[in-house]
Amino acid sequence: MLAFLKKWQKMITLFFVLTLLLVLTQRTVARQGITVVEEALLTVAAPVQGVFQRFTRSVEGLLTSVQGYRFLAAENRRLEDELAAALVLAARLTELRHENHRLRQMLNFEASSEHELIAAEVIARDPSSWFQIIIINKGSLHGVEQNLAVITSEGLVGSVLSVSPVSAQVLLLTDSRRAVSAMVQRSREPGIVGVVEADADMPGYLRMINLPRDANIQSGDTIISSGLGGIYPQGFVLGYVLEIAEEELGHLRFALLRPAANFNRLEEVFVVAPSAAPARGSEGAY
Amino acid sequence: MGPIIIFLLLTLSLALQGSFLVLISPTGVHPDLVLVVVVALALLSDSKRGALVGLVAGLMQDIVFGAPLGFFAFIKVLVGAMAGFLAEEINRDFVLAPMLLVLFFSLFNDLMPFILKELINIPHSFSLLQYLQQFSPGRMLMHFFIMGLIYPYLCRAQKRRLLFRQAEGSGK
Repeated sequence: MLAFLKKWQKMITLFFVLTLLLVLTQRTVARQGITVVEEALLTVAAPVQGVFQRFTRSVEGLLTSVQGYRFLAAENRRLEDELAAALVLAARLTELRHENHRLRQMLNFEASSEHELIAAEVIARDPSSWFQIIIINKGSLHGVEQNLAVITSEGLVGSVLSVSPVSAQVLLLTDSRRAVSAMVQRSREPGIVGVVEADADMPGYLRMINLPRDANIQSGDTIISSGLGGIYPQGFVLGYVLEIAEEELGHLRFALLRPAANFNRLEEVFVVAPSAAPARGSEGAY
Repeated sequence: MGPIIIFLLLTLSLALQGSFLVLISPTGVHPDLVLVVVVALALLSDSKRGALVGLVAGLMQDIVFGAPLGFFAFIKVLVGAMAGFLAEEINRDFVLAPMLLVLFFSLFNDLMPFILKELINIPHSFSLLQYLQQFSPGRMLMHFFIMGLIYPYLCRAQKRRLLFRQAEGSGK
């Protein structure tokens, strides 16, 4: 027996380690949050990843500048025009925000529907394609918490999976482990709230499932988060309907969506932190 | 000294893999630098050390990129152990052997997540055939050339005993 064990020692050890890892994977597949050891490693890794990301961006920026030098002057003029227009728009938005705030107060609305945005840079990304996760350079020290929604200017991107003091892992909408309760922005019928999840047949696209056969939905419709799941606030754009088809059994339909955000080029994102109601009397400062 | 160099090598690979290599290829076909390093190191040592390097590399990958803990560690342990078993069969000074072997391990590395996801019931983002057609050929080619680039340096470092003190198998 001892001789047998000695002869096959390596194989037995390998088998034992693999079994252990398999059990560990199974137990951690649906977990939220991280252990102290992982938190420590992520805290150490985040600055290193940040350095590499900045270096990469610099190289990328330099190459782009060299390639597009002759377009830079025209681009600059266009950006100046856009900036001027944006400044006008920003001023208008500020006015509208104040007006909205005043009206909410008049109607005694809870201001909890307003959100504070925490700007973050993407410092790394899981390159495996098997899991859709990005790492951002803001963590618990900056107010990022688990399960907060993450957006870009284009739309909803995902939610915070785990947080370390200086970084956070964000599970993207295109990860098969994530699903979002959603509805059609045009019709806003509560009856046609579906679930948006990653499309296994078309990687990078989304699929809105569980739609009733008579759902008021058509190609080109904008799909927004319904806020029913508890993680994602209502009203963030998820994607746009490309086509609608019947599920296998024919009782329900599904819609293929083009994601609003470009998941291949995520550089800056915003974490949506639920903010407290604006301080009383702040209106005067407006 | 050896373990520190290996740890730094893996950290560097992970950092490059998650930033530079992802950005230069936004279409989704990214090389798995950690895999190439694990195979190279395993081929320069033996199955035991190969598996150990694979375990450390895989766990680091799981933690840094947020995969279920043990997922990539499982795959990298297997890759490290298998490459280590082959270490005694190849001429370590001849770079073409690791370059060819990394083609097989790339395919294995692309196949295993699918099997593992089936085993532990994680929904798939891709169909296997689609994944192998879309990602594997490009990745295999990238790994082939990356191995050709880094293996000679690692081999030289090992000759100076900078990586492993003494491989169990003598190698040819």
